[in-house]
Amino acid sequence: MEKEGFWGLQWQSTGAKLPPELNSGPAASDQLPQCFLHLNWKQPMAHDADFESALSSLVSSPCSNPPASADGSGIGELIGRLGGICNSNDISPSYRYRSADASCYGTPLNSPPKLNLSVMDHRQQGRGGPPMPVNRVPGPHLGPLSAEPGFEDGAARLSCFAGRSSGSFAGQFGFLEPGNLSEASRSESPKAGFGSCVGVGQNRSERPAHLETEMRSTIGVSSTAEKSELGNGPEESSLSHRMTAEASSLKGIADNNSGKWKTAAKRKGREAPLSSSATNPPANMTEEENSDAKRCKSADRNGGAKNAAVKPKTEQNGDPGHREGKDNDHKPPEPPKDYIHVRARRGQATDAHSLAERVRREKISKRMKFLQDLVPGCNKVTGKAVMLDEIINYVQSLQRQVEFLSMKLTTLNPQMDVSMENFLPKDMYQSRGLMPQPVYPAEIGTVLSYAHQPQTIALQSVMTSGLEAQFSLNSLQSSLRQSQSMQHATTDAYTDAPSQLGGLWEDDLHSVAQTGFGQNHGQTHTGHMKIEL
Amino acid sequence: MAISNAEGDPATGNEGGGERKRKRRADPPVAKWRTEGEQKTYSSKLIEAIRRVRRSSAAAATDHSRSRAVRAAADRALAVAGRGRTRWSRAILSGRKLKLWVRARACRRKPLGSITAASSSHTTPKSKPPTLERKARVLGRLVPGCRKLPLLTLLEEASDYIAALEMQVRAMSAIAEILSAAGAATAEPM
Repeated sequence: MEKEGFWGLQWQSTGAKLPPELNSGPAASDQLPQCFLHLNWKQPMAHDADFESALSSLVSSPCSNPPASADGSGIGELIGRLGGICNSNDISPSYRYRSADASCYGTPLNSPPKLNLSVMDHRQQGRGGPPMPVNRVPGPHLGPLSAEPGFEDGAARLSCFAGRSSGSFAGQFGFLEPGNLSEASRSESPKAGFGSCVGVGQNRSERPAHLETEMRSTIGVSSTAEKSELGNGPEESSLSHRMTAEASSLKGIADNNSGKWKTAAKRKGREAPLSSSATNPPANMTEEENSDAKRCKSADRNGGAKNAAVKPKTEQNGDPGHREGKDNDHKPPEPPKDYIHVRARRGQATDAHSLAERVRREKISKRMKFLQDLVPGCNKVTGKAVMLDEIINYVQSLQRQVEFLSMKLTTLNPQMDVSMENFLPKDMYQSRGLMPQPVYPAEIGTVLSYAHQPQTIALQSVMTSGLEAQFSLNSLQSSLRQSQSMQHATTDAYTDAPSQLGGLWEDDLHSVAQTGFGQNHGQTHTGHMKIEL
Repeated sequence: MAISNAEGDPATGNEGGGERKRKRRADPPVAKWRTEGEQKTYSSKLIEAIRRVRRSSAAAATDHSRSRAVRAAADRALAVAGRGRTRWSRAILSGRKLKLWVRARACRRKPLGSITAASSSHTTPKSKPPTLERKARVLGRLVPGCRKLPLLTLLEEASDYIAALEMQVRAMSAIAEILSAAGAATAEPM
């Protein structure tokens, strides 16, 4: 099919340029006949150093399928050129190529000559161009790509090509550059194929940012592929290899990528690890997509680090299925790996819902991780269900513990009351001039810190805790004075101070607590106590 | 004394700007539950509450009811300590009816069995309900006032609630220990 042909062509062209990327392209790209890629890439090579990378990424991206047929050798060139240009993932996103196949960004298919020129222009412009507001997190690199206005034109043309096969592209490109996308989408029908091709190339390679932008502008086609790659990585500019490999699988890849990117697009700048991306298996995409997905995955993985390679969601997700899945079957959908990336998965609706859902899932996983630290013994547990089980069990056990302790305290209460009452007669409340007991606060502090002290001290601590609340009361002072002796003596003080304190506790505690401590306690020790409370 | 803050402050995952803000919101509160100062505050409040319960429930001789009252008081004190920033604390303070309690207990026991069954991978096949959803409901029932929350908020509340519960357990066990020690001490001189 033409799409496939496109793919192949694309890769070819890009292949030449993106030797590095291509070579290192994901496994999927292997399928693409390297020759294909090289054919066309040679041309663009000259000018597009950047394009190469971008293109390679495009190509190398999951388009592992060797172009079904180099039917459009000419187209292939175009694609190649475009691929190079559009390698920068940017291209794809902007091109909301619905053509699923048009995973590749650049739709060099449209017209190689035009492409070349446009590509060149774009490339140069795009590189430094305004960063495309790629949804993807790695946006910055995308930006430059899409920036190229001229590129867009060319891309638009390409998009025409890709339009056919770029069902997926649409999705992909979308995220890259909404503006560009529109252009690209215009020519969807004819260029779908192209787009897909180009996009595919990009899928996996983590193309450098600039590549992305370029790509975006030029190629909506390869959006899918590129997008994923872009998202991943500006770090990896394995466009070249990818492009080659993906030439054939451009379409498929594009679809995949688009899916990924779609979600990614939404998540611009979101944290990289978006599990959701993985969830968007390029179901829609055909085999090509698979390869693309694979590539994207690799790209994603790389870019994952970047954080939420929120690649522009390629709207190709919807159409991805159309891609001529050359041999993308071999690669299982990346989505599993995209778990950490916020990428619009291929085949997934690039609507806000998916993105939002992905974000939500990200948040949930974050919270789960947090809870993992909280709940003891959950480090090895993985998976939400098991984690939830553990959490539930833990909460239940804690609640049971509280219940048990409360029962224990209830039984102990009489003891407390008794001891308190014995020690602190209620008539002791009135304020008495108690001398501040500097030592007391210390005692209180130690007590409350649950230091296990001898029983006498323990009792003191109990009182002191009450004391804290009663600082402001003069009565406290009196009791303090008495408790002072307590500190040194043991049981003796108990009888006196505790009783006072106990009385103080009961009635004064409330008021004290409310009024705050150390109100009228001119004493210095209140300061200590205040600290406690 | 110096209050040790953020003793166990878990490493805030600084994932992203947005996430960071969110997580920061969740983490510090959790860390707050681990500070000693907080514990002390809670202990004093708890002691007071217990005494009050004791006084009020002088008639109710049932230990059970009293323990339940103590537990309610403890929970309320915990919620107060939470300063009402969390859903569960507000739910506790805004009326913790006994029937809710009973229902919670009953429900707790049931899910307990089911949960254990599930977690222990018993042969009982779960009727393919959204397992996560079910568990979320169970957790929602456990955490007061979080019955129909979405998983996201639920997890946040749960983390705070767990931290608070831990503090509560620590404080109560300490108090119990002190009391028992004090009781023993008082018994001696007597």
